[in-house]
Amino acid sequence: MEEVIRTGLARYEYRHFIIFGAASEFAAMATECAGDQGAWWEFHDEYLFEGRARTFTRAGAIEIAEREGLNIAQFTQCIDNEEHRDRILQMQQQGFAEGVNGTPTFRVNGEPGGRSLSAILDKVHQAAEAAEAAEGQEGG
Amino acid sequence: MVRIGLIAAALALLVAGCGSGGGDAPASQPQTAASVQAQQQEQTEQSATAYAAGQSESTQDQAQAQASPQADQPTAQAQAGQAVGQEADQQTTQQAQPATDQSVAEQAESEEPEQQAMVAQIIESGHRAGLVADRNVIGDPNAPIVITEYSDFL
Repeated sequence: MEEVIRTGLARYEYRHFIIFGAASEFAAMATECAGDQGAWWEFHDEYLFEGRARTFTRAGAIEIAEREGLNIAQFTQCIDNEEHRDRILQMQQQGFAEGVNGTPTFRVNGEPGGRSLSAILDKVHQAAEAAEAAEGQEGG
Repeated sequence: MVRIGLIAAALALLVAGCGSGGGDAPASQPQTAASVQAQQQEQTEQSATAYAAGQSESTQDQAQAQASPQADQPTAQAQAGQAVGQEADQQTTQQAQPATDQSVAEQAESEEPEQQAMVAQIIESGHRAGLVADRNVIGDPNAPIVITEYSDFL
């Protein structure tokens, strides 16, 4: 995976797809607010991998923000005003448009990407070959 | 006692054999545990889909609610994680939730270890490996291939 990203062949995008209701939505908004201060992935990792952050509450989010050294006033203003709500809804709508109905779901150039790393990489390589072939046709 | 049990079991087998009829019986009969599990999984998937569909409606409701004047009110509700279009959302969610909460959670639990490991691997080889990351995107923003993950933190 690292190779296909590092070489510029592919980029990886995480999109929020809320299926567990208000708490998940709050976590997504908090992550986006952290992203305003360059800590998107820190929040993502904390929520996804660290059990202690699973409360998904305002207090929990502020605790993480403090730990990451974020500007707390800016962060709380962002979460209280739900500044990234539209962005999250937009991602959700994109998901529905692409036929997503559960999580996690992977797509490669909008097409189903499978549910294993090898399946995703296969799709990436297929897409790369298809792109090369298309370029070849255009060039020759 | 044992003989009576054996006879009863034999009778039960005979009755089951008569009842099942068609040619597909061998395939459908012996693996009761497996088929029950498959049925449960199917039900879970259906429930998950139903829940997602409910979410879809509620998302639309939320979007509509956002466009309404009420959306201009300050939303300290974020603390409780409540949406602005709360009423409509609750109605929709309540319809879908009772039968689905548990099944979605069960599905998530059963798939969690493998998929979390996969996500972890992607992340390890992505932003943790020092690749360029901008918000929710890792890698060259102009890369011709986009790997998208739709996910929920819970």
